[in-house]
Amino acid sequence: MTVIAWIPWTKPWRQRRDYIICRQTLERVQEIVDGEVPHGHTARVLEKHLHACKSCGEEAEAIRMLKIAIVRVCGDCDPEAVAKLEALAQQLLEGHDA
Amino acid sequence: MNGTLVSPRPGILDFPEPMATDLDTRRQRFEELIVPEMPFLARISRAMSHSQAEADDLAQDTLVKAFRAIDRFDGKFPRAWLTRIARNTAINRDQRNREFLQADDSPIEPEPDPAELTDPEDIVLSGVVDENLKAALDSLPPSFRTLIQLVDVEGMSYQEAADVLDIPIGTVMSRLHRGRERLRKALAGTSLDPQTR
Repeated sequence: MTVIAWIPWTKPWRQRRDYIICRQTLERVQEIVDGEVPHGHTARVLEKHLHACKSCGEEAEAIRMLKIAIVRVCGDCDPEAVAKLEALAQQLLEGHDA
Repeated sequence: MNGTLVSPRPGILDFPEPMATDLDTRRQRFEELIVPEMPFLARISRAMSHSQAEADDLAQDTLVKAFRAIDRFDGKFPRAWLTRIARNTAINRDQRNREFLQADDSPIEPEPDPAELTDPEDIVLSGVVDENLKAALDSLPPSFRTLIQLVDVEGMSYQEAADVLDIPIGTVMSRLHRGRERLRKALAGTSLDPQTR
């Protein structure tokens, strides 16, 4: 049985560390973009990696763009629907409980 | 008797304002807390429904229930409260929505054939992207669409969304991920697709 000893700060150790950080960032990229990773060491490491790694950065950017587009499409509501609701609210306030 | 009028003790004739009746209090709370949230209610009802007509019915039922239950509302987080009422109303509406809103493994419709997409050069225009996105959002199950609406548009945290929809936070994350993946696939080849940039 071969046991690989990961000696700190050697090149293989750094490569493996970067690989693990990359995997973790990709797994949590949605949380990062949504601001759900609590402030602290982990958040700083993942954010730093996002800026350094092309594929992780692109993934984050794609989610950001999608969120912006979703707000553009779903941020407004049908004015007619709101008018109907306001009219109903007025009726309720005037004592006409349906 | 000297006939002089003694001025009454200060305050003795100052009757307090008549106490507001329960109905008045209810109306006042409703007007202050709920009425300003009509646009929110319209948006969230649309996200929970398959059509605008269904959304109108859901929003109106939710509003009436909110009015009747305003006495039991603690006044905090009106949006969360309205969302919870709307969700329960949608679940009770019919069995189909019960499945949509409660089951995480609800089937997502087959992905569109990329060949059906028009020329990428044409669909880069944001208006076309918006139309594609709108269609893709409409094709999502209401449970996914509602979550995307709450987190992306209304700015709720994962925990807040989990609380109002009564689902675990892990389900929030997986539904968001799956929903967004579906939207991104529907927008493949547009300006929102990293491959085209």
